[in-house]
Amino acid sequence: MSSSQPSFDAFVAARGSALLRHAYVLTGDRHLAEDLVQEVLAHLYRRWDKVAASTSPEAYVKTSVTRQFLSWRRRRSSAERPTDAVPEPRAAHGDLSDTFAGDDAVWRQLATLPRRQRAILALRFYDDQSDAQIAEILGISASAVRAHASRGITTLREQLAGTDVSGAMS
Amino acid sequence: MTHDLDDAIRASLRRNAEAAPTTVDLDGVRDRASAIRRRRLLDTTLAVAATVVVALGVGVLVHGISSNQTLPPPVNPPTATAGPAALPWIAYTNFDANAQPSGADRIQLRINGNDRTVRTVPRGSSLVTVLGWYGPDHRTLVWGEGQTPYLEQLFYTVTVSADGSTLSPVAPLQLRGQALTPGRSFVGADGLLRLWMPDTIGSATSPASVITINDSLDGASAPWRVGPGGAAFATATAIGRVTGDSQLYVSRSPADTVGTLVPVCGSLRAVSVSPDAGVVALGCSNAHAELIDLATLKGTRLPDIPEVTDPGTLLGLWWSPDGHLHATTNPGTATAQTTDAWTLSGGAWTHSTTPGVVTRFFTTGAPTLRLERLTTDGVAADNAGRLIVETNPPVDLGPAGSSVAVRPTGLSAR
Repeated sequence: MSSSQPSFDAFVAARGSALLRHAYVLTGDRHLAEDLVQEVLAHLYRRWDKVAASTSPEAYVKTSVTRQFLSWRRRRSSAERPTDAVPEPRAAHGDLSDTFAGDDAVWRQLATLPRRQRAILALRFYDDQSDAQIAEILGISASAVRAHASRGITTLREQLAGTDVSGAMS
Repeated sequence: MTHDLDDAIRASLRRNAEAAPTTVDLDGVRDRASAIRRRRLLDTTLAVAATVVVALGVGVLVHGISSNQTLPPPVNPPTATAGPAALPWIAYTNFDANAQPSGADRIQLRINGNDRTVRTVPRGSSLVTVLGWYGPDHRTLVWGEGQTPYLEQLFYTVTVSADGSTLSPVAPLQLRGQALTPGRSFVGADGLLRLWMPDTIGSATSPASVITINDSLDGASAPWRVGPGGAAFATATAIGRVTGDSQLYVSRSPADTVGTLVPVCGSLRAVSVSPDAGVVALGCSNAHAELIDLATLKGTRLPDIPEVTDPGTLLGLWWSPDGHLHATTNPGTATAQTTDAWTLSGGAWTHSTTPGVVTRFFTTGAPTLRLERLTTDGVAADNAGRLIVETNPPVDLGPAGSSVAVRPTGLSAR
């Protein structure tokens, strides 16, 4: 590893919280987010030299987190059950989620979307990725990205009909 | 509302992201990395041990399938550049959910970058399967449509002009002027079409004739008679049928109408013949899978697919052209309508983690691979079949398809 490349520990120390935020907007669950990031980092730990030598280690890890989220079938199948009632985001440390998520209809409805649609909306609106960049991350075409995003937004619009979303922007 | 909603999503995600955890547990990461390493070592050890046991016990390692040590590495998608004009003709199905009254299957052609519909078949109880390009210059498409309870279909053709611009009328597949009765179809690695035609349509107890249609569609092999039972597989050298009591009989010569009873893992749910036609993979409703060597009729039980424990959760088995075996499964629990994909490698099933879940591979005489795959992990297997032909660049045939056939690009290709 060259001196210009971040060590694993340094990278995690510097970018760990960003990775966790990325995982949290994907999963909508603090514990799943921690688990997801930890699992991806554990897989990359032994070959960190190659990751560090990539053009953007953070982009590499975020892509891995996103893909792992989309393929996280086994964990979901054993730990989650479908429900019509979407739980409120978990509060922690008397944290900000109490303040924000409790009355955030958009956040609650995002949690009901299929994972791919949610991931695409998160990449588009949280990470400000272009459709072409999202397509590269997910390994699908840009037109497929647009289709998934459109379906997700249409669903949200239907679910939020009659709801004042302006509060979500405050 | 659109921009308001976009802004609301953006604001909601960014605001709620502040509630995310802030610290990665580095010790936990290292512990987990060590556990992964230990597990891989164990898997490797078990795979080697399993290989030795199989080699000693069976004597013949069935094409190296339970160990990838004798297999070439998986092939990568073609890398040669090819412009749109060089793409082969492609036929595929596409389900139109909006067609009245209950949706319709469309047979589509993509030639020189243009799509056209050959046929629209109301869904009802029927399904459409495109089978391949045959006839002189491989310009005649053959497909099956309509299904009896035992999956027999009628077969139809359409012929495309050499320049791809015009189509003949759709016509039933005929041999020497005679339309064929309904049957089951099998297309093997040799690309030839084999039709399993029961004496009594829609009967699981009817004896049947199996014929192989030649490449030019002007003749067929002498009928290979088989006893009563359902069609399991048909190759040039072996035919498998299943009786109502879930027993598999394999015939290996036209003189053997009864076949040899082969013990199988249970009620068959998935059957797939290897690219070299030497091995058949069987998946049972109890989620067990095994390989049958068609030369010796000896079976090799495959490792259980992880976390597939509920009956009826093994959906399909597929071979890739390089000889790797793949499975699609349903976890059978909370995600009852979803599909997982697995690859048998090193003596164990590996869960696919790529966004595009490959579910079905085909070989073809064309200089490209062709395959079906789901682009979304976690959607029902029977209604999510986005088709992508692995040319360079890939050809995306859209969602809701169920089969695809790529025209060989040369007369000698098949």
